[in-house]
Amino acid sequence: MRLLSERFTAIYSLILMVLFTPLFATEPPKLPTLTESDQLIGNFIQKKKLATFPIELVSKGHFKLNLHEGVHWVTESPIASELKLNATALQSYSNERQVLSMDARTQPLVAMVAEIFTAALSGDWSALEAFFHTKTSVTPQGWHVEMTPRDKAAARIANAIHFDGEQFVKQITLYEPSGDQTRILFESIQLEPYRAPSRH
Amino acid sequence: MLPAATEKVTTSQPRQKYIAVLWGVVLAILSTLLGLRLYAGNTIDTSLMALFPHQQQNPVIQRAEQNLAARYSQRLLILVGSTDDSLARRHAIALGQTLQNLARVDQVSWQLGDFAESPASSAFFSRYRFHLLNASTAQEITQENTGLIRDRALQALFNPIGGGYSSALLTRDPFAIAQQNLAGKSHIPGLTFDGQMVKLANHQKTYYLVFVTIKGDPYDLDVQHQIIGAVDQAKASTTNAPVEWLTAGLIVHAAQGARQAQREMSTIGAGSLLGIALLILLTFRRMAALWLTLLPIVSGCLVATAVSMLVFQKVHLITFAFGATIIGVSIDYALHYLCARSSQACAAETLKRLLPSLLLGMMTSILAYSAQAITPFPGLKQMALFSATGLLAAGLTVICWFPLLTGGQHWQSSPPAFILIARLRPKWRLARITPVTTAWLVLGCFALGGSLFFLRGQDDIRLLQTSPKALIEQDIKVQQVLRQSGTRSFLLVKADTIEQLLQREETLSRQLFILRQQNLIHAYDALSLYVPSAQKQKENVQLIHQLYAQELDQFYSQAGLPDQLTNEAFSYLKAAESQMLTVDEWLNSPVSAHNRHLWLGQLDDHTYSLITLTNADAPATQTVLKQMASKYAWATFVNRVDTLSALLGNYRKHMTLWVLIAVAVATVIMVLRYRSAVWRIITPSLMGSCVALLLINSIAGGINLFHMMALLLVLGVGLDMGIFLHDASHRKETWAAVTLSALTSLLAFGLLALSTTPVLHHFGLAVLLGLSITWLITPLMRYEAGMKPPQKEFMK
Repeated sequence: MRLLSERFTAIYSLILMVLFTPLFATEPPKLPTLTESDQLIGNFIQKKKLATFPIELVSKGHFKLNLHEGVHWVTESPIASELKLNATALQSYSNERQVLSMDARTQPLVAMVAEIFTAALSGDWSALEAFFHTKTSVTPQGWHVEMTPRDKAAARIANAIHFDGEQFVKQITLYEPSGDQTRILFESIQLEPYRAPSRH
Repeated sequence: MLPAATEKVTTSQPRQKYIAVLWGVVLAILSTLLGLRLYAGNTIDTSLMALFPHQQQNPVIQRAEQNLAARYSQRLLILVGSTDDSLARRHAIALGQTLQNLARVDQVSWQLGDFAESPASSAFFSRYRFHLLNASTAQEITQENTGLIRDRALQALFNPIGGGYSSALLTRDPFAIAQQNLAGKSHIPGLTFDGQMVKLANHQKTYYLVFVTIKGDPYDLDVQHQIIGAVDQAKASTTNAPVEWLTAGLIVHAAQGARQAQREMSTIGAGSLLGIALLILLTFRRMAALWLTLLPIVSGCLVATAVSMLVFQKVHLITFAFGATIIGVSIDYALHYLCARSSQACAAETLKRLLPSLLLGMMTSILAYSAQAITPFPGLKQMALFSATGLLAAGLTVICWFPLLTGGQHWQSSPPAFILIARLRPKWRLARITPVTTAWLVLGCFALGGSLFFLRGQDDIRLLQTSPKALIEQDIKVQQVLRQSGTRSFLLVKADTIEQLLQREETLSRQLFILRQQNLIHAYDALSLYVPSAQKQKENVQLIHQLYAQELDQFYSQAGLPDQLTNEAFSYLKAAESQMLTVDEWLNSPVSAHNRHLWLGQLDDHTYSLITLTNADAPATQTVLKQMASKYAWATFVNRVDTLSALLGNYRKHMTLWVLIAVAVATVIMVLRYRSAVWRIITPSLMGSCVALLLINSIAGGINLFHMMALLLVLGVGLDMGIFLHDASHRKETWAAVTLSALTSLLAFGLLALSTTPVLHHFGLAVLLGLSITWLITPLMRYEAGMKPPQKEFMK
């Protein structure tokens, strides 16, 4: 689970960072502040190219992000799964049944994930730059960011991570040490007013 | 008469020179041997265990204790705490960085990366993934809850943060069992990783952990200086800040002990040396007297060290400490000689007159000390040889060298101080024995003897602890907070084969698991938690078979992966199946680095291991654990505090017995010479010892080993006093010598009563009380002039 948490920390920080990244040139972007009354929603398609088999695993779903509940990542196909992550816990559900729960207070790395997560939310670049070198360039289509690990720990998470975007991020590509490649394409990202979940 | 005597002396001059040269040669040879031995190194023993008898100490327990001690001795745990998180964090980082650069530090772990799995250990856990199946996943399979495992694996595969689930796992370990096994392993509740740092949040404070592995011996002063110096510097930088520092590890106590010893050496040690030097200089008014009194002590220590090291190879530190104090008694011989010389015209005559008393005194003391050699305790045996040879050498130095060294006429002058000392003599005396005095004496003896039955033993192991209470409490607190197993009690498991051993451990483990749930213990650690028995490993593989049969097809089809992967996954399972984890492989792998102490190995045709416990010191828990172990012939519950205290008690009882035997032997020897007058010689030291024991019993709450060792010294000095006084008919110079000897002993050992080290304090207290009382009673034994009965000449 350690490795798992390390990875999802980094990837999630990246996702969050880029989701909030408006068009920028060679300078790391200033992130817009997500207020308590807003939330970000959108759809995604994830394509995972496996190193060992000539197969691409494709999954689709939607996500929601706000300061109250954290991230809610919902995969709709080919399997139904939900993932919730915030400063206190990581929980995942399958068909409304909880399959995984990690308490940030007892699971060291979940707490770390949460911390970096918050750092990314508040536009604190130093959290990610502790792990990665960043190279930013402008392309005809928009912008391109390449991140390479600074140390061995980060290298166990990814060999490289690439971002492409226009006004919002369009695509994240993760090059894993195993040789697998995960590409996440984002669609119809938008900001909307935050609505508290109804309590029954 | 006089001219004849002088003539006789002159003829004996050449012989005296011959003897002196001979003794010089002996000393030179022994010094060379000692030098060679010291040059070879490895001569000092500091292990407490070395003092305990081998045959009494169960070798298995001994090995277990050695394992635990070795582990404890190389670790230093530091918690930096504060109500201000960032403050604590800053200081922890600074300390970690400082320690990292020290030569005597093997490893510092304070950042996330330091605690992460190494590639080697990941490979290890991946190889044995099925055999090491964790309990909760195993439960899910046995409870037919395999769907949950499948869903979890599917999520890991599809979630972007399911990272770590690489395509390589799809057939090797589709349900990511290796990751499941590691999840939650070796984590400490409350311990979190806060942005690269290891943090422990409690209700009021945040603590950051710095974990140090020491390179070298924690008793090495250089190691202490570097590491503890750095920690102290860090502490000093926060004197005005709200930062709490908690440390745990043997090195902390070793450094504290060394510092305490240094401090006391420079106060108590220097004070007593200065006092003795002043006393001698003021009495004899010449520097030469000072060198002369020191000479027998130095040569005594030299010979004792040389002989002990040649006989025992390694001499224990405690032998040195106590042996040297006992040899210090030999200052008496020099004092008696110098006092006697002050009233004699010639040096040879002085020796001739003094020789019978000197030899008898030496003989009784040497007998008393060497009696310890018969005890089964290696520590006492060493001490017996050390003090007996030391005393013999000191005595011989006086006999062989003093007549030549004090040949000058100026040595014959009664110092004015003698008159002053004579005035100090209490006026009481028990000159004539009447029926009334006899009745009083007998009554007194009975009262004293009877009251000795009220003495209690006080053998708490804390006597041997030199660290202040606060430091020990810190140690316990850190160990509790970090759930480190304590070293106070543990379980020993015995079996014929390794497999049987692991199965037996698993039997205990199931019960310990319940105790942990009941909160009777915080945690436990056992070999079988790292290497399950072959039986358990087979069961685990069987469960994986069951899981595959039930879920694999569905997993692949839901993921949209081809069916043929099922066959591949099964062949991976079959290939892994035969690779059972053995204790040997575990021991040779880096993953066992922190837990190898649990394996005790083969001893007397059996195989042993130990199970450590965390927070198992509560009396109720101890009872439960004892009961649990008593159910099985192959399990033993060991409480180190109990065993060590029992051992100390044994030492004390043996010592008491030998003190009594020594007194009896000395009395028999003296009866041969003094006949019925013997009571006048032995009564003062016996009464002094008894009264001292009674006083100590009420002051310290009981008698311990160190009081008894001190009494041996009191008896040695006390009997010498009696012999010399009696032989010299309580002359003025002899009284001066006796008083000086009592005062020097009090300065040398009585001052130890001020020490904060419990062992030294108790020893000093007993000497202080015993000797002062003996010295006060001695004048009571004087005869009236002309009343002294004839005595059998000795050594003539």
